[in-house]
Amino acid sequence: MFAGLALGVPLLLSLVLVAVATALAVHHRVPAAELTAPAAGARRRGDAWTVLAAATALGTAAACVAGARWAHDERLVAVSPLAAAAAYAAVALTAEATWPRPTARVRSARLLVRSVRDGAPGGLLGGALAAGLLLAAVCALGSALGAPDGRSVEWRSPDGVAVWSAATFPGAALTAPVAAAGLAVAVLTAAVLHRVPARPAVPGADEGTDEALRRVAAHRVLRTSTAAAVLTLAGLLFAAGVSGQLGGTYQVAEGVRRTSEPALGWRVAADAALWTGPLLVPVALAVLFRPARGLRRHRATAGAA
Amino acid sequence: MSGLRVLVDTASPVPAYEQLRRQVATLVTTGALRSGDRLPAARALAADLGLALGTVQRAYRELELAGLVVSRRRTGTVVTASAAPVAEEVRWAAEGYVERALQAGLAGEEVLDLVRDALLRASSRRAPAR
Repeated sequence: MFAGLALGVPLLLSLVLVAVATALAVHHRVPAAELTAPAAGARRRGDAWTVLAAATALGTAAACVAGARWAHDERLVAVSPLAAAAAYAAVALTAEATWPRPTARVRSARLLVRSVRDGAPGGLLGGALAAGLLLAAVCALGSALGAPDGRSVEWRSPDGVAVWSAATFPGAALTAPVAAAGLAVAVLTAAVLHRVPARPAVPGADEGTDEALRRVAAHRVLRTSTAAAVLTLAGLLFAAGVSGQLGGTYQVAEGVRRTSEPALGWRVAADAALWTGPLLVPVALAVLFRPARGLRRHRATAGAA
Repeated sequence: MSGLRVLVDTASPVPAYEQLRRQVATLVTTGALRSGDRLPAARALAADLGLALGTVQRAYRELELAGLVVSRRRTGTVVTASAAPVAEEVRWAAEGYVERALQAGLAGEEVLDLVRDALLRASSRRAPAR
């Protein structure tokens, strides 16, 4: 029942968000007929590579989950969102690196300085950075608190008689591959964000159109990586919540029982992690399906009307 | 500055780096580019123009040698020279001349040839006075 809800609710939410994002994209989409041929071609190229990147990401995630079932290794499930984001960013980087260069005899270029910040929205950039830092902090904390097996957490009574253990906890065995995947995503995302301002301008496109096409490319990779980091964070926090079960009463001699529990702060933190985790799932989905501010229709000004 | 453009004709006998150098130098001389203005990264400009990175880097190097720009690691290539103070009536005269020459059907190079010829005559007239 709980497993069904845990899988069904995010899936339903994803479908709703996909529908809303698609409706918004269709509503705001400028018809190709209103764009110059090179601009329409550039947008078509960007869309085609995005579909390929999304398919690669979904395939990677599915392969991770299937591999986890086959190998009985939960680490593959833990890294699946970040592996998918890394695959997406790798395809996006290929798209940027192979962006067509001008071939006309006479070529022109604006003397315009472009930077990563021009393309990547500040809010999303800050969100990505915050999600990455939080994920790194949770990985470091989980590794430090986890039991030597790297998959569980232990609590030992002060007299050493009783030991409680809870699993699955994000210890070193789980957080090491997550941290490695997170690092790969960060490097690939940064590479794409640096590549976007340096790709050739679309010939004949005005400054606004060219900027919008770059902004969309940066937005797509940034939100995918951020959503993957937040989703992974949600999973790790939820798993860390099991540490709240540690402690209890134990028998030291005939008729003598003692109680040993971690400090109140520990239990509060564990409960907070247990509840924060699921709450982050809709946040991750909202980031993933947040539409970019792309090309907009030119509206007639009041003076022209 | 965002409206400023450079053009490169790949079929021209003038090397691409020289075409770039001339145009940027002209923009600095005429005041379209001012001291402190940043030029695009060589890699980005090379991508926009479909040129090799070395071509744009050479143009920037030549501009730096001429003292028009300076390249720094953090800020990129920045214009350092300011436009020479040209009297407004001289600028108008130049614009008027170009307009009349183009209306007369002269090509760009012919317009410049006439200026060069006028410069030569002027300098030869001044030579005996030295």
